[in-house]
Amino acid sequence: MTATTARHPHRLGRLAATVLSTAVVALGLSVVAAASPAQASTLTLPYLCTFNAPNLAASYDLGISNYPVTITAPDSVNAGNSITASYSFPSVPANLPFAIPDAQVRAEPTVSVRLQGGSALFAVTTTSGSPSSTGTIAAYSSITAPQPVSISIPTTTASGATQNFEPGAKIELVPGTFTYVVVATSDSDLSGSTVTCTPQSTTTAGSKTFVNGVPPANPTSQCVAQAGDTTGGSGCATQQVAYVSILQGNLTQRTYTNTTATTGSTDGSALGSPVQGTSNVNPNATTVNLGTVTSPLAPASIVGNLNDITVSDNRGGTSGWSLSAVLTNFTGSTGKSMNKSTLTATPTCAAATVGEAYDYTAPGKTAISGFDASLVAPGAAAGSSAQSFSGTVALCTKDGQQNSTTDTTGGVYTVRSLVTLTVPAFQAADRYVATMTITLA
Amino acid sequence: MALRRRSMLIALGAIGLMAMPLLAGAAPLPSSTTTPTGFLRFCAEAQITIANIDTAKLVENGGQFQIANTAYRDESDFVFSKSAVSTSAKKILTTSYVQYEDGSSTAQKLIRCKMRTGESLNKGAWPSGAGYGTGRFVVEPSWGFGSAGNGLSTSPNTDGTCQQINQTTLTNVWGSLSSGQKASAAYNPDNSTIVTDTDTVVGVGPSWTPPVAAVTVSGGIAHIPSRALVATTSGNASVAPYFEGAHYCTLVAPDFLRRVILGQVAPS
Repeated sequence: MTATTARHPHRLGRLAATVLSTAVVALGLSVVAAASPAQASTLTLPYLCTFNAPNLAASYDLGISNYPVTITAPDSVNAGNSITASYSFPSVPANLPFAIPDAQVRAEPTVSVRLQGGSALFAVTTTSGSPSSTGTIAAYSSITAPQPVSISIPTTTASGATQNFEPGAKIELVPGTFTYVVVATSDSDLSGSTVTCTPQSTTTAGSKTFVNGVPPANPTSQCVAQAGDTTGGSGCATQQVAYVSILQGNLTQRTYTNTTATTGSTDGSALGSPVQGTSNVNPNATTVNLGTVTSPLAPASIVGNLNDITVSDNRGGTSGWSLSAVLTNFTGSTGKSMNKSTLTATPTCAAATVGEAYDYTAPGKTAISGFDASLVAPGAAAGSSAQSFSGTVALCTKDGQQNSTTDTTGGVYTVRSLVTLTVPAFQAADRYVATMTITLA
Repeated sequence: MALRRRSMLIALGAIGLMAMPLLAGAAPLPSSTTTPTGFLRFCAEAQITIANIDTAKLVENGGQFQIANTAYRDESDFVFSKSAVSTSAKKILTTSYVQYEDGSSTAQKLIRCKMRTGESLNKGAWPSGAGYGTGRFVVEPSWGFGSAGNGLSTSPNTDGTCQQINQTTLTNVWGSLSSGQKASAAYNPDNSTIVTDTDTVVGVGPSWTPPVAAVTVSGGIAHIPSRALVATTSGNASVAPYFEGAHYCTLVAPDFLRRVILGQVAPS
């Protein structure tokens, strides 16, 4: 199954509005929400399609095939309003061995409605699609109808929903059965026949729409609870409209010392001549020590550690990032060198856990107080193993996946990497140094 | 509408009757399977002959029962499918699969039908716990309609044969030809240069599924064979009910038979 989504760039505005809306709901109040354009998401899902001819008490099972279908829905809707969505389906190669003369066909899609990540609450089918112009559906051809077909999704019980969706709710539309109905044909045996395609996977949402709060245009600031010497009743209410703004933060990287000793080399820091020795432990957040070895008779590996990198992203948006590294050649104090390709990296990259999520603004290595790992967006992936520094090394890539609560790609991530130096046989004795540049973009 | 369709089919059968006497109990099979009725209902109509259905009990004749068919495009799906009944809807459910001469699947050659035995139609529910398929191949765990199915088959102890279906197809196809076409035909049932063969009966699916010829030639005579699978409900108790009450046929497609008779394609 694959999915592609094209969203409107006003995402940050919608996000801020949603956060604001959620905050206000806690107060029992409402806020103004930004208007939201439509998003279109195309999913490729397996469908079982069947041609049904009820007047013949017969059907033709066309088997299961993958079809790319598109759900279009607005990013947000004001509380109380219906969502105007659409669901498009490609033509179905029914390949019937007979023609359907003088046929008109219309599309009849069904979408399933649920709260984000939840179970289906109800389904909506529309029969309002426009029929095709009258014509013969040739034998061995495909069947289709004009699209997209607009579907009105209710968000209140008064309009047909099974529940009232409160401000802050995230309504997902899941593609359901899609039917092409032969609404007219001169062959009475085929009148009312359909091609019905039923998804075999019902878990993937095609769209997500946020329910925005709608503040009163003229909030009430005074009222009378009782008139005269009376008591009881429903009382009276005034209103407070609360506002809050969330500003964008930063995308940062910060390194912290990794003190794991190397393997394959020793601590030569006590040596001063004929070649100055090197420790096999990193002393600070900007130095990688690979230790000391004797010029080998055959290529020899030293495995050290890059200093730990914490990437923090609180931009409050929906952008990914990448962390990569390049290296200069190793050069010795007497003009000797080792090619940068002798060093490889095997990185790891993961969402930070409580206790290792460090505050990049703190003076030292300080865990973020109250850090909630469940709010970190998924989608961070390490680069491949044993990447040579002959080129750019991919340490970590964060894609566009969002956290389902924050609706951002933000989070704190920990990147580590083993670095392996393969010392060539008979390498000239010297103390070598190279500079690695790590880029977050 | 369904009544009109059946009237048309009866008329088609009558055309065949004028050319050659129909076998007793033969169903009014379509003479072409490139029509909606022919393609979608060929096996449903064949079921009438196989189980000796009392057509007066069918919906189109004012009765309560109906024969519904599901055709399958995919052969492996068809293999998974089983003939069955829907007791609440009073439907006999047949399945079908068409094999083609050509890679583009436009020239039909052979039709495989999965039908019910006549004797199964008044049998009841399977023993509790018996399996009944998976996914879209789930069937109702019942051999037949129980006592409601009494009399639905006029001869429940003796099923019709696949050969009868093929013979009716041969009769219908020959009857649909013009005098000129008959005069120049490569094979002529009137002089027995094309005949139907008795069924080759097997007892289990793996013996029925392998490829079979639609028409063969022996000594200058074209033969229309059929491989039948018959698994009655009175059989071995070790056989799962899912496989019982089945009467399957491989049948020549009328359009292929027409091309063979006219010499347009070689028997195969």
